[in-house]
Amino acid sequence: MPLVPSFRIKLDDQILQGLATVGKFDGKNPCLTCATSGGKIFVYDPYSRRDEQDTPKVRYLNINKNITAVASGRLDPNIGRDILLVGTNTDVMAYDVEENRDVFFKEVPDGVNAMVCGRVGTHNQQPLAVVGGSCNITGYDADGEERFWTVTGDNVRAMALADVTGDGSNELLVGSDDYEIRVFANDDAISEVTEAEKVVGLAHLSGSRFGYALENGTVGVYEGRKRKWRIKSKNRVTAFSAFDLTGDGRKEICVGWSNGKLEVRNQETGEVVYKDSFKSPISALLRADYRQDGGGDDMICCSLDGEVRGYKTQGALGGVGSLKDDEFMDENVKEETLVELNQKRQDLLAELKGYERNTRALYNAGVGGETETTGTIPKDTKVNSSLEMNPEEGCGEVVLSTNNDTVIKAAILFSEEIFDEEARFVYFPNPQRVAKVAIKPKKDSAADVAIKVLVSSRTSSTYHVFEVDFRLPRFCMYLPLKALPQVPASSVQVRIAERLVKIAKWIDDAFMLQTSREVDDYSEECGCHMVCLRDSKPLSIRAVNAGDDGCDVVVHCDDMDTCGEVIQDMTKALGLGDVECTADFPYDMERLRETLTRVDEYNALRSRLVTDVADASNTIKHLIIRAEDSRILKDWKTMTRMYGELRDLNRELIREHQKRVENHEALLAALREVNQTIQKAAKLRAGGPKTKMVAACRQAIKVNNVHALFKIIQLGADLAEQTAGFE
Amino acid sequence: MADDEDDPSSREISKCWLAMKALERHDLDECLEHCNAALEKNPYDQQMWYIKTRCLTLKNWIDDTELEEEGVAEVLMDEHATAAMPRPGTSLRRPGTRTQTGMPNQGIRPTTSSGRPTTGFLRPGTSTRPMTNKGGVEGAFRGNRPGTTRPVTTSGRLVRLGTASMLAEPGGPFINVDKLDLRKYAQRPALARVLCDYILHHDRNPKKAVELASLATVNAGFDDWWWKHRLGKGYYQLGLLRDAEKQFKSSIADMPTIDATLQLANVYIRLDQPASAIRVYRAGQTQFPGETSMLLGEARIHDALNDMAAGVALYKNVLQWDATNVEAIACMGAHHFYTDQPEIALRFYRRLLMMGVNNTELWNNLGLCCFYASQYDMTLHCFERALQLADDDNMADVWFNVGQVAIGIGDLNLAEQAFKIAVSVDANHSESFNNMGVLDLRAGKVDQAIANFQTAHELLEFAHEPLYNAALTAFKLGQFQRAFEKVEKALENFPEHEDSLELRRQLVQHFNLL
Repeated sequence: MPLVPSFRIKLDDQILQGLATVGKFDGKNPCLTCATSGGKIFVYDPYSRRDEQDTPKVRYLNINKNITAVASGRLDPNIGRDILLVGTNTDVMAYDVEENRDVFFKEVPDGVNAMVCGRVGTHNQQPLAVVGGSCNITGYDADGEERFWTVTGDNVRAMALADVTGDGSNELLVGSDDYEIRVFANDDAISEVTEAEKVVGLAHLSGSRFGYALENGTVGVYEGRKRKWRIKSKNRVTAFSAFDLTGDGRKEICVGWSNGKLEVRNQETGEVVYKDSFKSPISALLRADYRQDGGGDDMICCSLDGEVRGYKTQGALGGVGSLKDDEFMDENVKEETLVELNQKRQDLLAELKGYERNTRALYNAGVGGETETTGTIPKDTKVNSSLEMNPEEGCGEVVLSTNNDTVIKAAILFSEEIFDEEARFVYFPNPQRVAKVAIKPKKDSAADVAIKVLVSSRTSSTYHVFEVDFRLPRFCMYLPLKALPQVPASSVQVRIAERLVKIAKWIDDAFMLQTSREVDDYSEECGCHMVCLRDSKPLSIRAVNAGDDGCDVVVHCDDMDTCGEVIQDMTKALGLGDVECTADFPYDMERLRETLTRVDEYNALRSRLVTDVADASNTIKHLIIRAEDSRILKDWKTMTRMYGELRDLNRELIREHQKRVENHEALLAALREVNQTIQKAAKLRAGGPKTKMVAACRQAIKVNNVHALFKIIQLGADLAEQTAGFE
Repeated sequence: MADDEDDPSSREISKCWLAMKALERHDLDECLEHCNAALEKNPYDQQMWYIKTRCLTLKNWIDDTELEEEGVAEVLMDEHATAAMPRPGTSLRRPGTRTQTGMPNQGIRPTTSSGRPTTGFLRPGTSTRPMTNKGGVEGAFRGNRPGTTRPVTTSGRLVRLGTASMLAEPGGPFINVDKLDLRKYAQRPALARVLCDYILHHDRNPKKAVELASLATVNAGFDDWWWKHRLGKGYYQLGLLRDAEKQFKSSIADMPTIDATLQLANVYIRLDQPASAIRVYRAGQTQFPGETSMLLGEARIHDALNDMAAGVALYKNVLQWDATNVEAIACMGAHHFYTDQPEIALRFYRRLLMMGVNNTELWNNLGLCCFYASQYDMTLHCFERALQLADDDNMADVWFNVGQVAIGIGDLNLAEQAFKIAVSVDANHSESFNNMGVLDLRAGKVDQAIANFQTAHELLEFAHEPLYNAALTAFKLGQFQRAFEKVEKALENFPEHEDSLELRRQLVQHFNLL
């Protein structure tokens, strides 16, 4: 159904994707604020006051940098108005539009990718500006002080603040480039969901239900950690939001696409409720009581070319049926429907033809040869599936087999976690009873694979489709070995208050082994050795009975990430709360030490380059003025000389800029690596120790105490503090 | 100094001690002599090096908290200000946007060439900040007063000062900063400090100063307010305002100092965020109560925002702390003069006179005050004094005021003579042209009057009087179209000008009748 706008505005400026907000900068009137080209922000204030006639409706703010995030909110409760937050590649600025004043200006070396403003967790005393950079999230209060810091796996792309757990304080939903959607309560990640692509949009619906959008055009809804529905489009999602447009008290998922389509979908089913379309990609979906006509909030949809439409809750307009549909029915929609229906007709015709042909063949052949020609297969045909490991190829194989002499001609495998394109079609040129499909999951995560197997008799050209569901275990890429050629130098040791038998059982479940057979309550130890098929790195797990205290579990592996995954899986499976560990990763620590030195170097270089450029730009200004001066005086010789010098200097500046860009990128990469190492180290722990460790690491980095940082990573926050006291 | 015992020269007074004493007395030339003599003997004498560096720095020291004039390049090409079109009363670039009820408006209180109300005290930068880009390159070149020009870039002027100070030294520059290994110096805090000040104030090379300061601040473990302050200064001179802001803030957090506070406020003024600057001043005032430089700074911003009432309150406060503050007294005087209390203004100006200020402007103001306070016997004497002291820069103003007084007493001949002299002294004196036009009109020389109004307008685009006068003349001559154009322009400059509004109303009525 087409959506009826309650108002339309055409602005002269572009609205860049995702860079728009509505703020009450004078405390009363909402202003649409968007980033536009050339590092500028414009504030569209439809309520310019009468006593200030010369103030235009659209006002520009010069940021003069590449704007990467825009947000607004009541950051300082003492000021009764909204503060505008602007994020760029290098800094974040809070700006009081009304007073033309910076509230704070902070350098953020790793850039700002996403930003929200509001109260987070139990930092309830004051609202924070939450800034998502690369691999980390920082919350600033109104004075620009850091009140909140935590790490995520990768670049933060989407954030939303909502009370997911229902405990009265806001949790932070974070979508990042490592395909994860995390829910943070305070500094602690309380829930993680792995998706199939980079997460670009998040919107809270109600309770633990939230909508998400991915870079590949997938949109869906999660209820807690369970997905309710998802759809995929070939277009890109450019704006994502939730708003109750039907007036039934439940929010709908609103999606803006790169082709200018706006869709409103039911949160239960994903059905399209309303549609509208714009001439250019939609750049933002916002909510605000923009017209202040007493009709509650509007949903505001901005498109790239500056068209803005507002939508009221449609119920408030007196029922959808009473609207003149034709007037708003877009040409596009009509055409699309036509194409769709035509397609359906074609399909049905083809199907009908197939049936006709089959019956004719059956009729011609009589009773005897029905199997060969018609393609029917025995009724009891079944397809079985199992998983095999192939160490030579370094991958796993799904083995499909039929139980009679029918053959498998092809298989379609669906799994968004495993395949880049979500699905894979495999055709077997020489159909056999047994078919193998290689799969190679990129990450250690459990995945569901839906397989459609095309089965037929040997000669027939008609296929029968069998659907098989297959669950890939989390650690399927690890192949058990009798003994390791060499025990990895790195290890992590955890003390767990759990019986050895239980741990053995967990090992069996996780790695599909049979270690628990030889283990009982009196065994001294148990363990297993494995090798990863992806990079052939060895992994060994050993649990030693420590009497009444439980067990010591030691995981040996050179990959910190893998150790973290193992520990996380174990804590989850055994239902452990707080886990503290002793981590010993000589290689990673060495790398971290090098990275930190590099960060220092890059920073020093950066500040030198900045002053160089400032110096050069002063000279440039000087030359331009001299040249212009000569122009006014008609002294062409001097003017030519000045412009010549200017050209040389300009070329030099461009070279300098190239250097700066490279340096900046290297710095970013190094900072990311540091954050990722902290994230990995955090994964070796769980519960309280994990949160404490992240906070302690941040503190250590802030005061530039590399030694303490290593201690914290090795021993955790508490122990590191104690040992520091002795030194 | 233990070595001096063996030295035969030790029987004389140590050169080093002499140099130190000379430096303490601020007898810099003598100090330099001692240093040069000692350094010639031993170029590696560190204490002499130290003293000489301090001495040269002091010689070229300029109070940079007050030096605040933007160059042509900054005016034309910098977009530091966040808001391109800020709300009225929140930006230094739109001074005319806030009119206070009960305070004198443009019609009574004259404006400077940049359209800002005069404040009674000529100060660098604040009184001359031009409107954004009005008039393009030519407009930006135009300086403080018509006919003068502004420096090309702020840093460019500093460089010029630097080279000038270098040329003055015999035997080339004392320290060649480009050849120094700053890393080595950064390790030695005492030497690094004098060197840094030397680079900033003598060489005027902020780039090198920043390099040295950043090395030194690393060595100091990032918690030395002094280095942060110098870093901020360097960044500020380089035009890296955001970096400067960060350093000054950090410096103040470590150790509140008056200088850093004033510099931080200057950063915000350059960023065109007067509200932030006022906050900085207020915060500074809680740290340093009674610090008049901060009070004055805040008052100046209020003045620049056309918020005279707040400014006056601050000037009063300044005078409570420091009764001899020339700027505050002068501003109070101007305020009272323009709020129709010439008797009180007279008392302020007399106070200035008692304090030993003796210049053209003061006598000129005294003359005007006397005139409006009906002390006619004193008026012309004051102007005579003013003229005795006047030079080409301000003589035109004095003659203009003589003309004003002459009009006031009805001596139109004297008035015309005075204006003519004013114009002959300063061919760009717009006000005199305007008044001459009015006199011409009275004498019936209409064409000449129109020409005079035109000249006056061209010389001072922000003034509304010549435009209104031209419009009125055109109206009386029956050139309605022309009159309308002129009056529209006049209203652009001064929207509330009652006479212009009335004239436009009449014109509109006329057009409607047609």
